[in-house]
Amino acid sequence: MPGKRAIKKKRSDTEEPSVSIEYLLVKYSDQRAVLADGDKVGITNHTMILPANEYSITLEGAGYAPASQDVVLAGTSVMRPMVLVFQ
Amino acid sequence: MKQYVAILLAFGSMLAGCAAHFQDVPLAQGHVNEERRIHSVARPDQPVILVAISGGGSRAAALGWAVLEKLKRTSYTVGGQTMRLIDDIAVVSSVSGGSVIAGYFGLNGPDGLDGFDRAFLRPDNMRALELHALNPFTWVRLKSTGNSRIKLLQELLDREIYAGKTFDALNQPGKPLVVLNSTDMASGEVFSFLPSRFDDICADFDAEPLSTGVSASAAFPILLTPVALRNYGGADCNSGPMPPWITAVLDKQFTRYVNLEEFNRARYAYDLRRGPGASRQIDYLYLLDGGLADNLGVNALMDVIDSAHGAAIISGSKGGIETILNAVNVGDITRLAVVVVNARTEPPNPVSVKASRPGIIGMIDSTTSVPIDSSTSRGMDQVDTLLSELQAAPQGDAAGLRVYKIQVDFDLFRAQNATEKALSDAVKKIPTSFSISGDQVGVLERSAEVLLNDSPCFQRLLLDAGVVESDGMAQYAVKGCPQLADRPAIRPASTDGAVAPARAAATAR
Repeated sequence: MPGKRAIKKKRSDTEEPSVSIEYLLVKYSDQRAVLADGDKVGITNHTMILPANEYSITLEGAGYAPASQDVVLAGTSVMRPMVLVFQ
Repeated sequence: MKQYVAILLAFGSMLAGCAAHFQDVPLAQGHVNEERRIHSVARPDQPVILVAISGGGSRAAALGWAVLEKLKRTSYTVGGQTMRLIDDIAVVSSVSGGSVIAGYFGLNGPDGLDGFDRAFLRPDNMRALELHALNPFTWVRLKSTGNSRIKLLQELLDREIYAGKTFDALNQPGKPLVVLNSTDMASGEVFSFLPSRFDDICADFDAEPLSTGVSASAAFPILLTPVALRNYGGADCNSGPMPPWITAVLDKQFTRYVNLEEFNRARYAYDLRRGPGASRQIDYLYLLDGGLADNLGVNALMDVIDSAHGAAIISGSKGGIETILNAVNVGDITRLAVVVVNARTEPPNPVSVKASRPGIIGMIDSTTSVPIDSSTSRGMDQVDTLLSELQAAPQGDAAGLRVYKIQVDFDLFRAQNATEKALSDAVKKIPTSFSISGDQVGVLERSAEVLLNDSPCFQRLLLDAGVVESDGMAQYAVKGCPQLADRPAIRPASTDGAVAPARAAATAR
C-alpha cells in the first residue's frame, strides 16, 4: 500500500506492523564519520540506528580497508547490532 | 456540512471537465531548489521538538494553534538564559486543517502566532466560500482562467493570512522545517511540499504560493477539487542529475524486501523524474487532502527522523549541517520530543443506528471519511513503535537519548474527571469545517492546556529542563515517561567497546 512504512513484526507479539529500525556498530581504530551510501549516518565505535536497508558502508577520509562493505542491515536488535570492522 | 457539499457539488458540476490550470512553474535555467532551513542545537541537552498536526478543518487549526501557544508560554532557563519550548521546534509536519496553522507558523514565527485567532479563526470562512461559490461572476472567472473551486480556498487563505507569500518566505535559515502533506490522487503517495520533491518534478519550490500547498493539503475530496501541478521532470530538467540514492535503492538486490517503503519512495521519485524504464508515466499531479494517506502527518515526520538521506537541517554543536538521524547518532541531539496533535473527533455516526440504507451523501461522507480515520489510527501505532525503538537505541548508556512522546488527543480525556468529560463532550460537537465559533476555540485552547499538562512526557520534558512544578508532578513525570537514563546501565557484551550515541557526543568533545 502506498505511503506506508517499512514493516516488520512488532516485538510485543501483536499483529500491528512497526517501523524497522536497525542497529549498526562500525569498528575502526580512530573516530571517523560513517557513511551509508555516501550519507553521513554516525561515527565509528558507537552503536548507531539506521532504517533497515541494503547499504554500502564506507568511512570518511582515506587509508582504511576494505574500501567499502556491502551489508543487508536487518534482523538486528539493541543487544545484537550488526558489527563491521575496518582496518 | 451537507449543505456546503450540495452547493459546492452543484457549482463544481458547472466546471467539470475543464482544462486544469497548473499551479507550479518550471525551474529556471541554472536554478536548483535549496533546503535553507536550519535549526541550531547549541547544546546536546537542548530539546529538539518535532510536531505533527492532523487534519480536522478549523478544529485542527485551532488545536494546533493552542498547542503552539502553550509551547510559546512555556519557558526554561539554561545558563541564566530564558528559553521557550516553541523555539526548540525543528519540524512541523501537517495535514489538511493542520496545514493552515503550520503554514502560518512557518511564515510568521512564534511571535506572530497571536494574530492567527483574529485572522483565520474568527471569520466565518465557510460563509465566505459559500458566497463566492454562489456568485455567477466567480464561475465565469474561474472557468475562463482554467481554475476550479479549490482556487476559492486559495484566495481566501491569501486574503486572510498568507498575503500571496510563497514558500521562499518559509524556506529560510532559522525557520522550522514546515512540511505540508497532500495525497497524489493517482498513486495514493504522500506528496510533501519540500524542495527535494519539487526537484523531482523540476518545479520551482520557492516560487510556489504557500496557499497552494495548504489548499492541496486540505483539498477534501469531492467538497474541493484537487490542486493541479504539471510534472516538468525529465532528462532535460535543470535541477541536476538524479540523486544517487534513488538509483542505488532501485538497483539494490534486497531493499525491496527489507524496506519496501524506501523502495517505493525511490520508485516514486524515479517515476516523477521520468527515469529510463519508469514504471509510471506521470505528466500531471492532482493533489488531494493529505489525510487520505496519513491524517496525522506523521509519515513525513518519521521520514525526517529516520531517513539517512533526508533534509539536513540540524546545526549541531560540532559544526556542520546534518540530518536528524546523524545528529542523534553522533550525540548532537540527546532529547527528542515528538508532539502529535490529533484533532480527530468521533461524532455519532447516524449510519449505524438507521434501518434505512445510506443515501448518496451518506456514502460519499463514508468513502471519504473512513480512509482518513483509518490512516489516523495506523499513523499513531507507527509513531509509537518508532519512538520505542529510538528510545531503546542507546541502551546501556545512562546519558542516552531521551525520547518524549507527547500526544494531544481528545481520546485521552478521562471520562471520570468532570472537567475533562465536559471538554470531551464539547469537542465532539465541533464539526469539521473552516468555520468555528469563539466559544469552540476557547474549548480547544482549554483542551490543549489540559492534555499537555496531563501528558507525563510533557511534564518529563519540563522536569528534564529543570522546570518542576511540584514533587508530586516530578514523580508523575518520571513514572509515566520513563527514560533509559533512569535505569542502571548494563552494557551488552556483544558490542565490545561500543559506546552509545550520547556518550559519543561526550567523548567527541
